[in-house]
Amino acid sequence: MAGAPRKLTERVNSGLAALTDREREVFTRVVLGGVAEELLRRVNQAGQRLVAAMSTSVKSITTSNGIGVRLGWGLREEHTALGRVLELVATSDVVRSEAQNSELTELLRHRVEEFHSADPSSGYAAHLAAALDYRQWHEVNVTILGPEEGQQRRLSRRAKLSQGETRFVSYVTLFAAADGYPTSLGDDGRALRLILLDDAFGKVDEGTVAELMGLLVTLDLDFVMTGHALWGCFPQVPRLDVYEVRRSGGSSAVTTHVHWDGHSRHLRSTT
Amino acid sequence: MSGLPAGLRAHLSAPSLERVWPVLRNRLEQSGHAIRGSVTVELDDDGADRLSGLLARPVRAGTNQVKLAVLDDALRSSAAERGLVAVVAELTGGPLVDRPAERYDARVRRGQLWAELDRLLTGHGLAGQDWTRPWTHWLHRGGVLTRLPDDQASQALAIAAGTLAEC
Repeated sequence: MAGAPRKLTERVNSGLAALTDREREVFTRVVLGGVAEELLRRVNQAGQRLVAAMSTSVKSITTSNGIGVRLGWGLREEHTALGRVLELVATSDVVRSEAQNSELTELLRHRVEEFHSADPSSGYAAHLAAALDYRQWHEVNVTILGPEEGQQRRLSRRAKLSQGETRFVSYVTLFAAADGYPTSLGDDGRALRLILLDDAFGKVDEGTVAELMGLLVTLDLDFVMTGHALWGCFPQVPRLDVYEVRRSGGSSAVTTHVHWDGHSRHLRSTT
Repeated sequence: MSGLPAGLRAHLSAPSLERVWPVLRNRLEQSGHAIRGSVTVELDDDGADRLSGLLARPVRAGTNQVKLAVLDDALRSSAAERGLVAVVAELTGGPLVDRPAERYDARVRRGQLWAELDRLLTGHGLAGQDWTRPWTHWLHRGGVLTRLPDDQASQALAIAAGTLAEC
């Protein structure tokens, strides 16, 4: 009887070790059997294709002062350690050495275990999903270009932009995102490519508003906007219906419907 | 040492990369196997994907500059477990020659041959003859001796010097 506790402890420890070994084996099979490849495919799809396409779509547009925008995609500062995971998944299966396979498996296993330790009550599938959610690892970053040739800086309070330029940068980024999401759903033409803007383009100069509306047209995004003194009758916009709402004091609202055909305005009946 | 793992070998020797390895071989042979600088290679989509999978970074189709040191590092840490020189040798059919070393050896051999010539001429009492300088100059420039294997060149030199001494 005296040796019973020791024997029991040994059996518990060997059982735990066997479980850990089995767990490692299963995890290795899962990671190397497709998770790594899928992770790479999705990261590439998001970063190299989607964000790169978004950046390309906004490349040609600038304010009248020569301010432009470039969009990028990178690891968040707090997740830079995951760069090694991305480097290993970017290495082809047949290229990775045994040591690299073990390193990749351990890095991902460790990450899943961190989620498990933080909330043991959630299931393993939830931990796996959270740990491998590459979208949480990354961020879209905005770089402001110009006005000087070759000048660029990250979007921040120190970027020294006028209010109108700040809005321009925000609009361009927003439009690119509004384009990127439905585009990423596939090219079956059924995604709703619509943007709604309340009090649009305040403090943005007329020439830049024309550029921004032209960008929406280029991106094939339909739009519904409200604004003060916002007409949108620019050559960049091929078709537009404008409803002007006027009221004087407590009077009833009077509306005027104007149709823009890309060249001229036409008064239309509102009834 | 055993060859590259089959999967990796197939990955690297795909038709889309087949023009890359001779370029690297030529560069390494010319530089005495030095892992420095870069080579310019043209890649199609498949070649770009394969190189990307080796270097673990995006590679676009088209003209690419590939640093030898980066390739060497990638191969050493990969399932290949060997450096660029060994991999290029395996993919291009044999060990790489070392051109600078070959050139150096040839210079040393020529130096020894001309020293041997001076010794023979002095030994036969021919060093002060009027024709000696133009003749040795002709031998230096002509390559008739330096193209021969070392032992044959020495033998030919000894016979020539002996014959001239008897004239």
